[in-house]
Amino acid sequence: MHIPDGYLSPQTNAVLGAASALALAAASYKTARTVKAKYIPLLSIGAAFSFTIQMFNIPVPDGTTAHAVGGTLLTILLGPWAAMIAISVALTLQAVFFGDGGILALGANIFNMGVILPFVSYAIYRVIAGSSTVSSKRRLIAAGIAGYIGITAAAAMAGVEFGLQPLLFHAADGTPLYSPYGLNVALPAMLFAHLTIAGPVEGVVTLLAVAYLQRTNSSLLAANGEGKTRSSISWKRVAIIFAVLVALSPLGLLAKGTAWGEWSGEEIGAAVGFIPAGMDKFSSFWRHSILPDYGLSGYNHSFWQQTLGYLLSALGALALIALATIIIQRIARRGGDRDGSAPLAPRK
Amino acid sequence: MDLPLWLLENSSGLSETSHKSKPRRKRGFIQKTLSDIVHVLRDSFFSEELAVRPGFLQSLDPRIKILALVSLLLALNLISHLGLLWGSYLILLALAAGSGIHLGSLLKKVWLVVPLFSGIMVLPSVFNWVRPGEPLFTLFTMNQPWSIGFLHLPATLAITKQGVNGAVLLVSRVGISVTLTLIMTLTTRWTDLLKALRFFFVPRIFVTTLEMTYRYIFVLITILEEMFLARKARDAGRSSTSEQRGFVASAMVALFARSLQMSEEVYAAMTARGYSGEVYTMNRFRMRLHDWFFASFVILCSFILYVADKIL
Repeated sequence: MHIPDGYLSPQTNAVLGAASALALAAASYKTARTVKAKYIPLLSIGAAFSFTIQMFNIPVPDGTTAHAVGGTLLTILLGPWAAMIAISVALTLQAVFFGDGGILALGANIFNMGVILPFVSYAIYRVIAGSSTVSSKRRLIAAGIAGYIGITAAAAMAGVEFGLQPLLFHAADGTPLYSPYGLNVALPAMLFAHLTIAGPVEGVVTLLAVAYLQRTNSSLLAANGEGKTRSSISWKRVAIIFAVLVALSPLGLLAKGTAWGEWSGEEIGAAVGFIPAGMDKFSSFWRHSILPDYGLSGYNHSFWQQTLGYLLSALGALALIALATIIIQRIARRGGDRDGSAPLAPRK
Repeated sequence: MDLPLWLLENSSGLSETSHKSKPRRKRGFIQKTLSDIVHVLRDSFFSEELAVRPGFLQSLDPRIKILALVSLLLALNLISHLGLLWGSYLILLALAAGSGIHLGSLLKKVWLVVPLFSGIMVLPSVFNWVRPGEPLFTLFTMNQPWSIGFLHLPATLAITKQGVNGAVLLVSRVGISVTLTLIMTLTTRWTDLLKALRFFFVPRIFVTTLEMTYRYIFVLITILEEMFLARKARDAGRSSTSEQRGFVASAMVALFARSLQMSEEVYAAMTARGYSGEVYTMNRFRMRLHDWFFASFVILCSFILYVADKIL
């Protein structure tokens, strides 16, 4: 589910990146308040754990193996906020150093696996586990279902992101510029793969891990959540509402017609039967806006050609200056062996 | 970091004998996990080794490289002219070759993997049954359009122009983006790259966490490797899949328990050295003249790519 660069448009990445950044800021604030100074070592090692957990090959019945994300387990163990940071850090390292997931798509990947997954999992885990005791069967089932649905929700989110690409970004002749499949293909495809293979794997692993915890180390299960959630019951609901809203919000882009409250005079006329006089007056006033329908006026072909001319001459000038500098440096170095741009050994 | 030689080669122990009797079950989950571990260690090892070699890209300030990486990635993902994309790719390759990156292995690393995943993923979209478009090449024509339930298929199956263009564009873009990222990370020491993040929008606490995570990944991976090696050493006969899954789940929790314990110990060690929740770091980067040149060069090039794409 690690989305590489090139599947999503930079615009989509920017939006999702901003959403992830906001969520992470909230998580930092929340976590810093609860764990204080222990924060950094705990999160670092949590993130390292999140990274390592994805290296486990899990045997599946047909004799092959699959990978688990482990996000749900981490959420149950660390709580959703700390899990969010740990998963995001692990995703960042994977993207930068191991080529799992793109750099521009990092925001999208964090959003799917680092925000959606822990929150959906946690909401489901809390709702099903309820006030059951740490060693109850109900907890086990809650963990399994949370794992199953959590990863499927993340996959569905990725499917929505893919599916929006051909709708929003295509060339004039219909050539898709990024991921080519519409929602009707991308969403079912992602859902199918995760409902049948990745979801059950995640669910079973989470369940088994929690079962092992119940047998051997139930204090770890009780450490997180218990007291905290009971003191603030409403937040469970908040998490659910948040998750539902997040899952639904991209659908707004698909809805036909104009956004509610953003009607033009004509649309109001058609809907209500008359155009309010005040609106009629001001609609002509606003016609001179800088961004009519969000497209910048005057950015036509000749504008771009001119810009390219300027940019290319700037590049030429830069190249000349660089060349001159290098020559001067060479001459100067021949005189006295100075630091300059000496062959660069590892920096100390 | 020294990598033991035996870790680099696939052992011909248990897995080989079992694969003779059952050809589908080539490598068990233990062997796969172990070889994944080897991959991570090898990647980091070779990258570190390449990053300290002399070369043009290695000599640049890591901050500049991050700037270059992001601005070029943005430009390459915003443009859609294939000529421009592949032109910049060639320049990138030249730059990589000039910095001591072995082109053969770089090409292999990217173009053996990307077409396999992205190529197969995008393949159905070239047919008009999946994505309607102008036919480029008709495969066959049936007597009448097909219709099963809600599924309606037109009478001709054809490869569409839009589909092929889109597929080529996607695969090119993914491959070129991966190459660019690889070139930048291979020529930079990882610790430097993480430190350099601090100069951008990334909050200090996040960077510190990243740095520590990077360090502890290797500790945890070593623990994981020991766990799986121990299991492999004790493995005899064939165990059931559910038993294996149980082992994996227990191993995860055991790893977590050790992680948690380690985090307590690390925290105690940090406190003993004066840590009180604030992290102080030293800045050891220095911008040189050629860093400035490279930065302005790359940013100009990104803009040029974007504008040229608008015209072409």
